[in-house]
Amino acid sequence: MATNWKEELRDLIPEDIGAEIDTFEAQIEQKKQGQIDDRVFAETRLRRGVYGQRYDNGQRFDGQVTKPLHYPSGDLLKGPDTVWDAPGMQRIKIPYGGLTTDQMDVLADVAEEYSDGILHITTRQDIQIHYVHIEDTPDLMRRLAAVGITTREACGNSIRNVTACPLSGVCHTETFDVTPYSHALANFLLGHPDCQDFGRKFKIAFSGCAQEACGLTSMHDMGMIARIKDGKRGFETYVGGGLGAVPHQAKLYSEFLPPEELLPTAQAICRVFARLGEKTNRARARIKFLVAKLGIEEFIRLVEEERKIMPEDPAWTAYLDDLDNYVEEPLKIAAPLNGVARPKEFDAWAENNIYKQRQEGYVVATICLPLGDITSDQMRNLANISRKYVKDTIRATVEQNIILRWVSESDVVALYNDLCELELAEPGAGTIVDVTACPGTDTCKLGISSSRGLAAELRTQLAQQNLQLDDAIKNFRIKISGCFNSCGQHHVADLGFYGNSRKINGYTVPHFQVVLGGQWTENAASYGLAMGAIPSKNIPAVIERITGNYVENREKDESFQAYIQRIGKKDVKDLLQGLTQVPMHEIDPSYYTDWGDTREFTIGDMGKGECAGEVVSLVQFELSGCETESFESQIYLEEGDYEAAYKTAFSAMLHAAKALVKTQFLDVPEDADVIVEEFRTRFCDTELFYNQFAGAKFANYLFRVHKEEVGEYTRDIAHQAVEEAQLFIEEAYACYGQMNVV
Amino acid sequence: MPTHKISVKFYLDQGHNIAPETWFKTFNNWISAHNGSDVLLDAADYSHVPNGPVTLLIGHEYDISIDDTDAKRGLLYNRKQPNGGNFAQQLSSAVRAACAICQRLEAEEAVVFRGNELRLILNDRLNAPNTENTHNAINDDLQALLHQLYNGSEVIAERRKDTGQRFTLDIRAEGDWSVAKLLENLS
Repeated sequence: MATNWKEELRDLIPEDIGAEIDTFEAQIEQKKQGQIDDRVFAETRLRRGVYGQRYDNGQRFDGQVTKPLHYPSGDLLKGPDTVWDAPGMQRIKIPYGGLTTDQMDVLADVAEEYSDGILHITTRQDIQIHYVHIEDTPDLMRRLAAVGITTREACGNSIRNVTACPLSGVCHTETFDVTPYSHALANFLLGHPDCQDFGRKFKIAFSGCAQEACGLTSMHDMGMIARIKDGKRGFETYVGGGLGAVPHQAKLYSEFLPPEELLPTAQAICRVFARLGEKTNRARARIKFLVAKLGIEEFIRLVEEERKIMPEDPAWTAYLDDLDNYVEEPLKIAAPLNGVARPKEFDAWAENNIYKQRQEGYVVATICLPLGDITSDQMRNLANISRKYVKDTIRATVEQNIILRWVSESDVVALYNDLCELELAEPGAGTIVDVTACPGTDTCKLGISSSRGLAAELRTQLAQQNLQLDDAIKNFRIKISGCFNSCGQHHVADLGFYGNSRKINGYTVPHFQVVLGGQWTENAASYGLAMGAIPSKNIPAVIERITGNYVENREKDESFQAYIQRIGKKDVKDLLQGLTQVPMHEIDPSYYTDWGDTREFTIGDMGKGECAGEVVSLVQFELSGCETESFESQIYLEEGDYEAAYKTAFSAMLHAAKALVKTQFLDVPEDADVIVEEFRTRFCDTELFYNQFAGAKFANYLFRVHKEEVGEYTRDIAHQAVEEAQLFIEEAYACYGQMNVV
Repeated sequence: MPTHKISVKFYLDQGHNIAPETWFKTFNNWISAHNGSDVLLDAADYSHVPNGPVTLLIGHEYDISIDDTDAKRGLLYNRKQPNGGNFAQQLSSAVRAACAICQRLEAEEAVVFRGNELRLILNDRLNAPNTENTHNAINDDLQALLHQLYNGSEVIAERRKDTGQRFTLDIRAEGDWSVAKLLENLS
């Protein structure tokens, strides 16, 4: 029996992915030994989806005073101001939200064993688990990798999860199924060398049609909407959208991008973003600022120029041959429900939780998850239920739910009964009760007010009123963010809220900014208007007044967006009058405590967020990776594996040389001969890589090992290479420093 | 034996109706008042999720939750970090810690725990898979502990057979036992 997961899962994890996780595990060890800089390690773990969490600076406000948390590892850090032992969040990428039952089982297991037994579906189709100890993360990643899930680049300044409409392939209004394209692009950009030097994150979304909300392409860094032109598939492509504190609508990049240009264009956009995007001022480092600064025409020109000079990559079109292989199949034959007895609550559930597919006889069932949370037991049992009715056609949605596709209509009642057993048959999917919220103050360091606390309260109150709610507002979207960063996507909701605070009567009082009239449909076509900050405890009253006024005063068939535009900010302010008032603490202390918390409110628990990652230059990042390789070569040496020690040491030198060459020649290929020659020409012959006292000595280490033909890998040969690799990397750092670009 | 990741759950006999907010407040108070060498760092409310952890107190060494798994409310102690000693010692230590927390809750809130029934979980599928082999491997240590805990009374330990689950034993003892008495027996 294997004694560790690495051994246990060896045959199930692709070699390169296993090696990446091994490297991360080695980096954890290096960090503990003080061999990696805090900032570099922070960005390293972020690019593995290992994210900080509230209180990871080692302090917590208890309602009266801020107290230190004395973790056993003392001063050891895993990032600037981030304590080593403080548990963190692990974000898990689920491209286009696609899940299999085996993956659901493993997700349930890891949440149970390394987290708190709760899986949280995010607003970008990821899954997050919380309170994870960093030293558990490599095994966690191995277990996920064994079922085809990666956490790579789930956080940090990288390509985040590629999202797509969860109804792709079964939707009535789509142009075509975008799933295989989103899958191909996600795979292509994962770990791509041209995506490693961003100043901020980069988010991509696909939508099957323009009119629905599903893909939310307008609020993404890059968004694709399916189009047919002259009988050929392609994408209307947008760039430079985003929410955050300063929301931008994406600009049209191309009316029709053919599939063979999808990958190279995305790559060219990434290269332009990496080269010209802001790196210093994090608040303006998203691509939306670059597009706004350059203007869309100039941005397009630059991308097209970049596209022309990019070396040809067979991967750009290789996926096209596989497109036809992507087929979803139902488990059961299509059949009507035909008079099966319906339980009492079934119709209310089916009204919003069942969507008839365009394929006759099949439906999509939505499992509504309160606040996007599901327990490990529920997830495992849901996997078992799914096995009864569908063939791995399961998706997580940006509304923090899970859907089962290709359910035969004849099975809907049986499915409903099974979901009731798990208490997963909550009705109201996609309605006003299906409130979306980011983690907020519960776990996020940036959270100001309790988005989840408010969401839970609204959910409870609205569910109680649901039957009495006017039809005009039943399908409203409520979305809540804990701060202005918009993870809850409040800008695109009918009723959006984001957390802030006000100093009143000497106390800090939790508030929410009210954002009204955002448009969810047409791929988040327009953003809402901020109407003012209201104390958290009055937000339910805000909803009551606004929706009541809308129901009463709307003009015939007037949409909520049109109504808000018509009445304007002043009328809305008048409507909310009185709700901005906060009673004295002595009269009503509840205003000074946030929803879902019992402590007096503070913003003292906020920390430096890790959304922005750490700005570490590509060369620094790559040289740090070389150090890890050098470290691994030492381990091999100690273990007596001399061949591996020698080869890893050479690889460390080669990669350090490549990192330097890339500062002048971005597209240097992986070929060792080319790297060595480019390095010789650009750095050795020019004496850039030249030690004041030792001359070209360190460069010669690389040249020697490169041409050396080893008959037998002895300890001495390996030892020499290991020592030289270490010196070579140190000199590479020095060289980079002298280039005055640090 | 294989693992230090031991979870122990005692079920409520009285106090099922206590609101989640009360537990949340209690756990927050515990964090404030805590002065032990272990670290208590956060309280989390999951009362919106059925049959799971209603309210969770997160620590570095262990978590505690008011737990509704299988729709049976109780106190779940979940050891995360090694606690020293061999498996028998770690097992004993986990049961003792769970009893002590139950006793503290009984002192602070209107709750009573049933001492005659507990659930033991080994939260480690690699080292303690849900198999008869694992059961056999821990059985001597377990029986010795149960003998001490229940003073030699008859005890039935039933393993949950679902292979997807963690190694889980549902343990029932003859007679009525308070958690205070169990603690006394373990001392």
